[in-house]
Amino acid sequence: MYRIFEAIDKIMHFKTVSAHCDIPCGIYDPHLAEVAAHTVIRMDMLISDLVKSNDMSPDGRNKMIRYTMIKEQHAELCKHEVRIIWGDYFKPEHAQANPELNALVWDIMKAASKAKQSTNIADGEALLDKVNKFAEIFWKTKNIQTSRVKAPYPTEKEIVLPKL
Amino acid sequence: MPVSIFRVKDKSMLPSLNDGDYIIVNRISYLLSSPKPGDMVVLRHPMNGMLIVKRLSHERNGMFYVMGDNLKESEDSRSFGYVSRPAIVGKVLHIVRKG
Repeated sequence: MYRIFEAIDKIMHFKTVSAHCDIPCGIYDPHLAEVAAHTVIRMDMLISDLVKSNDMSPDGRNKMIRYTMIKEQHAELCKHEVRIIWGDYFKPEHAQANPELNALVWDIMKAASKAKQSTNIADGEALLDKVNKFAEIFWKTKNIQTSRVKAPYPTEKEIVLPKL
Repeated sequence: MPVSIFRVKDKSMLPSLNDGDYIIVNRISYLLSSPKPGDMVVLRHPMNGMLIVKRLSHERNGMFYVMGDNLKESEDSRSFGYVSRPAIVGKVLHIVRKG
């Protein structure tokens, strides 16, 4: 019977039904969220330096606006990336195995908004700390071990690396 | 034609369906009766329109929750939510197994 169907398929080309269909092929990675959180911290650092320099020239003001704009954009990018992984990748069994997950995502949303509102480096660091925890849970669901290392960025804060 | 034949790709319906199996699908099964929990159905993925095969889990307010039999390998209503009746193409009548 199967051979008959196979022979007809060669001529008729039956449509295929997929049983699995992520787009794009299940490509998820919390790295972008981590980098965005580092960028928020870096902008806080640059803003702090600029304030200390007391540069009120047009160029100084221009810098302040640019730093703030990038901080705002990256805090939003961080939220976006975390939301996508949380909504599209995580499944109920992941949340069951990691009961802190949903509250952590909620905290990240709040922390990113707080980081937008302030120029306090501690707020950026609080965001990164939560995003790193999120990244660790993500890789754990894929049975991939992680390590926290000092990132090679001027922030000199940690980043979560999967052991691939 | 009220009956269509599809070839199955991937493994989200293991052990019911294997990669390469053929399924015969009745497109008019649900003209007179409603899809029932446990029915194996071909439907359109609500996000990308791809044809997918899943098992009907339950109905709520006229919307249907579908899941793969192989939960670890399946993307289904757990991620894309309930699907509407028009998204359901038909009911799997018969499976022609590979080998």
